[in-house]
Parts: sequence; C-alpha cells; structure tokens
Amino acid sequence: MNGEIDGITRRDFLKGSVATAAAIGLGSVGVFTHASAEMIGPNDTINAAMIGIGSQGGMLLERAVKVPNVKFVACCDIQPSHLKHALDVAKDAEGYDDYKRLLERKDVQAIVCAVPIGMHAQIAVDALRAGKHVFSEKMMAYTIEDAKHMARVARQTGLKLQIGHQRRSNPNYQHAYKMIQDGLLGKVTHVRAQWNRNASWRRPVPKDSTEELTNWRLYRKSSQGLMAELGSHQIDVVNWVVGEVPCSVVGIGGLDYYKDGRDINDNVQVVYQYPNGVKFTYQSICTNQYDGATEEIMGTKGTMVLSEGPCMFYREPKSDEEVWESMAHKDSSGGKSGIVLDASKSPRLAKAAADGTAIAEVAKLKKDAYTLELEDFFLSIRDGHEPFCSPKVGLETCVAAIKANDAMDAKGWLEIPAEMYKI
Amino acid sequence: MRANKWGMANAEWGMNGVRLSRHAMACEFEIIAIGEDRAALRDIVELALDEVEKLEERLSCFRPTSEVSYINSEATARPVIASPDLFRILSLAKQVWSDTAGALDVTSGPLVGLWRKAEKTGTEPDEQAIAAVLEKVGMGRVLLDDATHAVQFESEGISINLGSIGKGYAVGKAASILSEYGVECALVSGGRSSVIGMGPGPDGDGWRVGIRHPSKLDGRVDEILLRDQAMSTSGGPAQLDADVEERFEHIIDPTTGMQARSEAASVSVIAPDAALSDALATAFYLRGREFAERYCSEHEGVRAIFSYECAPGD
Repeated sequence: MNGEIDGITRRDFLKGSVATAAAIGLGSVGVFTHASAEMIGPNDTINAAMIGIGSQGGMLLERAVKVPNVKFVACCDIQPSHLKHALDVAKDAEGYDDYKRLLERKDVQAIVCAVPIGMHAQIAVDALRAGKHVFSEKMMAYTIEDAKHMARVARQTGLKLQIGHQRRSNPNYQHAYKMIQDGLLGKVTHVRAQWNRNASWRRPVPKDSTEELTNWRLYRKSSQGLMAELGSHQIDVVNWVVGEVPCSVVGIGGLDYYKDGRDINDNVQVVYQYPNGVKFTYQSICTNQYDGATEEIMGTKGTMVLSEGPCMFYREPKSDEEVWESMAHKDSSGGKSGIVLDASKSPRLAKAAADGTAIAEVAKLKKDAYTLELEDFFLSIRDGHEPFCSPKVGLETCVAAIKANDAMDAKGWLEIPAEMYKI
Repeated sequence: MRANKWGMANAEWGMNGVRLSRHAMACEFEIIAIGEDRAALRDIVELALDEVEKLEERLSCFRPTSEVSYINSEATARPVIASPDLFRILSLAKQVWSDTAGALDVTSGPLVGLWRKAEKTGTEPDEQAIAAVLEKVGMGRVLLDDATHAVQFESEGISINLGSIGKGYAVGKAASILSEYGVECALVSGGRSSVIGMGPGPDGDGWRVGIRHPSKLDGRVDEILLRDQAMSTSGGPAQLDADVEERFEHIIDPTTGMQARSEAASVSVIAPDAALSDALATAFYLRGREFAERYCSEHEGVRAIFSYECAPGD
C-alpha cells in the first residue's frame, strides 16, 4: 500500500465515493447480471467477507467469526494496519485493498460492511449486484436517495440487506417492546432520549491513515454527524416502540465548543412529532455526559428507561400495581425506585420453558446485541426471514435523522411527508 | 497538590502533560502522559482508556455477554475463534501455567467458588468434593489452536476467569496504544495491582513508583524506578482494597485444590510486560521465594521483590 488504489489517492477515494453513491442513487436499478439468490441450507457453510475493519468493523468481525457454519474467506480495508488486524481475527481470510476485486470472488456469499457512511450505498449496491447478501453498518446511507436505492436493489435482487441498528436484537429491548405492546405503559405519549458524552469525538490519526479517513465523522462532506452516528440508534428504538415514523421535526444545534476545524455540530437538540401525537425530544452533546445514553418511553401508566446497560420500569403513582410487581427485582437511583427489566427474569422465559423453546431464549441472553444481529443476518440468509433491521427500518431511521439535520440547518420546523419513507 | 496512588504529585511531572483516569475492571485506571500538545495527548489517552473499557467488556467473566462468557458457554461443544487479544492472553496464561507448575491457572474459578462457599458455611470441603471440582480445573484442558485462534475445552465444566492476568494485559494494551501514537513518556496503572512506566519519566531516569507496605494501606517499603518496565503486586494491602473483588486470607493452590498460606506478605514482580508481571505475581505469591529466584534466573528481565511481615523487634 502506498496510499493509492487503482490510481486514485485515498482522499479521492473517499470523496469520490460519496459523489458516486449520490449519482447512483438518482438512477434506475438496472440489470443484475451477477445477482443470484442461491439456496443455502441450515447446515451449509456460508462463505463471508468483511469490508471495512476499523474500530466498529473489527468489533463486528471478532463476533462474526464465532457464528457457527460461517467462514470468513476475505477481508478488505485500504488501511494496512486495519487489514493486518482483520487477518489476525479471520485467520483463513485473504486480504484485499480494493473491495471491487473482493466482490469478483464467486465463492463469497455474504458481505459484512463497516465503512464510512458515505460509502455504504455504493458498496452495498455493488455487493448486491454481485449476488452477495449484505449486512451494512448504520446509519443506512449518507443521503435519503442512497438509502432508497440500497433498499430497491435489495428488493429486486431478492438478497438480504440488513442495517446495523443492534438494539433491535438486544433481548432486553425486545422484552421491553413486548411489554409495551402488552400495555404496560398505557398509551405512550412522549419520549425523551439523549446520548451525552464529555469527549471531543476526535480520534488520533494513525501513521498509515489521514485525518479524513480517521475523523470522517467530524466533517459534513462525509458525515451526518451526531444525529446519524448516535441518534439514529435511538430514533430506531422510538420508531419501533411507537410503531410509527415522525411526520415533522424542529431542532437547534451548533458547533459551539470544539472549534478545532470540524464543521459538524457538537450539540444537537430536536423534537419529533409522530402522526399519533407522540412527541420525541432528543439531545446529543459532547461537553457533559450526565445521563449518558438512554431512551425514556413515557406512557399514561408508566415510564421505561431503556439503555444498552440496565433497563428500568417506573410505574406512575396513579396507576394500578401489576400483579407480578411484588416479585420483580427492584432498584433505585436518583431517589426513584423502579423495576429492573431483565429479559432473563421474564415470565415469558418461564412460558418459553413450558413451550420447549427456552434453550434458544436462554442461549440468546448470553450473547451481546452485536453477536445476535449478526446471527440474525446469517440465519435470514438460510431461512429467508426478514432481519430485525430490514431496509425499510433502516430507511425510516435514516430519513428521520437527515431531516433533523435539515431542520437544524434551516432553523425551522420541517414536515416529513409520508412518501419520503417509501422505498 | 493531590498525589496519585503511586505517591506522585502533579508537581513531580509538571503540567507538561495530561493525567486522566477511568473506572474499569473494578478499579481506577490512570494514565499520566507527558508531551507538548496537550489537546492531542488528551485524545490519545482517551483512546487508550476507551480500549481498557472495551477489554473489560470482552474479558470479564462477570458480564454475561462478554467474549469470555461466550467462550465459557460454547467452547465445550465446539471450537470457538477468540479475538486476537483474548487468544494472546490465553496463550500467555498457558505458558505461565506451564512455567509455574500450575500456580497460575485461569480455570481455577470453580475452586474459588468451593472455598468461598466453605467460608460462608464454616465447613471445609472434603477430599471427594475437592477432587470433583478439580475435574473442572486445569489449563491443560484448554486447547489453543495457534493457526486458527480457536479455543476449545477438553471436558465439561471448564470456565475461564482472567482476574489474575486481565488487568495487567489491559495496562499493557493501553501503553501500546500510547506508543503507537507516538507517546514516549507515560505512566499507566490499573488500580494498585499493575503499573507500567514508559520512557524516561519526569526526571529522565524512569518513573519512580512505590512498593507498598504489606499491611499499611498508605505505607511504602521501597521505591523503584521503572523505565519501559511493568510492575505488578500480589498480596498485601492490594488485597484489602475495596476495589478488589476477591478477598481471601488464604490463597488456593490450583494443582491440589487446597488452601495455602503465602510465605510472603506481598510479592511485586517487575517484567518487560504487564500481563506477564501480573500473572507471575500471582504465581510467585503462591510458589514462594525459592521458586521465584529460579524462575528469574532463567528469564531475562524478570525480577521479584518479596515483602515480609516482621514481628516487633525483628
């Protein structure tokens, strides 16, 4: 590696990919000469490949190589140190610095992709057209048109496309979702969520990289900022539990503290409105980490505070006590006593045991959400089911996050027409 | 001016650097890094501390979704590919297990559980109970495939607990990240059990760290200079710290399953690598001074300091 790939520099590669992806998004889907959804049996080995093995990609690859009957035969990254790490994780894999060459391999059936957001659409579409199933990291794409294009190509090829909003695969979130469906919160009317950190979000640049490749999240030309990189996970949760998508958004943000050459906002505050009247207030800041990352789902009978750590339920004082409440594990913080929502302690698990499905349920609880979302992806290839985070789900989240950025830029209230969410 | 846990005040390293800490692995990880560009240094130190947190997520057997828990639940049924970090730790743990006649054994958790229960009930386990638990213990039953990084357990009931090596590994990993990004002078510590001094330190001759008094929490018996070296301590007041999860008056010999009493009040080991010093401190604390002398004579760069409680007047 000398900093050039097929005659273009890494910097051009990144810039070009964003522009190219946008251009592809405007066109029609075309003819898929390579696409083929071959049958893969439950015990057949799936040959997989990883594209993009930075911090997130490396974390995914370490989990993906553990999935039974999945073999990683190829890995691709333009940074030599990333590729070296990948080949240390997937010992049987062959290394590539050009993903297009990797996609030429006929034996590769599935791609896991964790590259900067501006390249999501181009690589996913190229991979789908080459006949590969695709797991693509969140947020789905840099533009709404790119996300729609990915979804359309997936639909036309009949191949799986899963987006990496891993909370959908988290057993505690799934448990909370079922309880909300069962009416535990009464009518959900408001949601508050935040992802607050006290850190610059700037990563030191490795010797074999560039500022643009390492800190692409900090620049508008290559990033949709906090709303995409953090907020999209939480928007996804709210869309899921509310059962609708936002119809309007208002917001205010700014670059007010980290004036170090970046041009994305270092603080965002937005309010979404859903067609059923639910208001969702969201904040992400980089100067104070109070409350960390949680989603507070507020209903007429109670509040759930969800997170990738503990999940809690607080009953409204005027609401009737649930019959199981006296047996539930309780905890308190900030002077408020609540019930710990733990999927492993759920009466549903007891029911699953009676139904004979408990082994799978219990096994699930021993895996983290990243492992489970990858297992969901590979299982969907085998049995054809729609993954928890489908292209439709990914697109809905992508639209909401990008429209929030538009609202902050416009300093006003924006309607989000329903057709914007249509694939 | 507030001194850090190694007895070092800010004045000793000046303001030409950053000092950040983060709670991880049930203790306070701290990094002091010296350099000109404080903003850049801060980002690098944050990255190193982020890595410590990520390691905790992977290595803690107390977290049901960690990589170690995954391997504990799956590796009896099938070979599981470990991450490079975990495979490196397990390989080192197996090497030290072999070199110390089994004194360091990361599969000894079931024995700890047995004796913890005994302490609660006041009844010592009989030979039969110990023999039954020993069937579930033994690093020799953990198969490591260098070619694929696969880990497999040879028999039922084996589980891994990296409490005696993970913190040292995390200290070393944080130091390697600092080094990767060009930081040449830093002190990285994980609680009071492991510390690594990188580069010339504030005075040019290394980082001066204290060896703690075996029974007085704030006392120190000696000072030592670390320059591109790690030091770890087993026993002594480190065992009395609130942040140490397992507190036993006795230690357990993983080869016999029996409780043992260390001849020393504490043992500090100096080695080029913090995971190695952490693992050896545990092993030397059990095996004693003669064993440590023999080991150190055969392994370049490893030194041990034994501290003893003396009777009044000694």
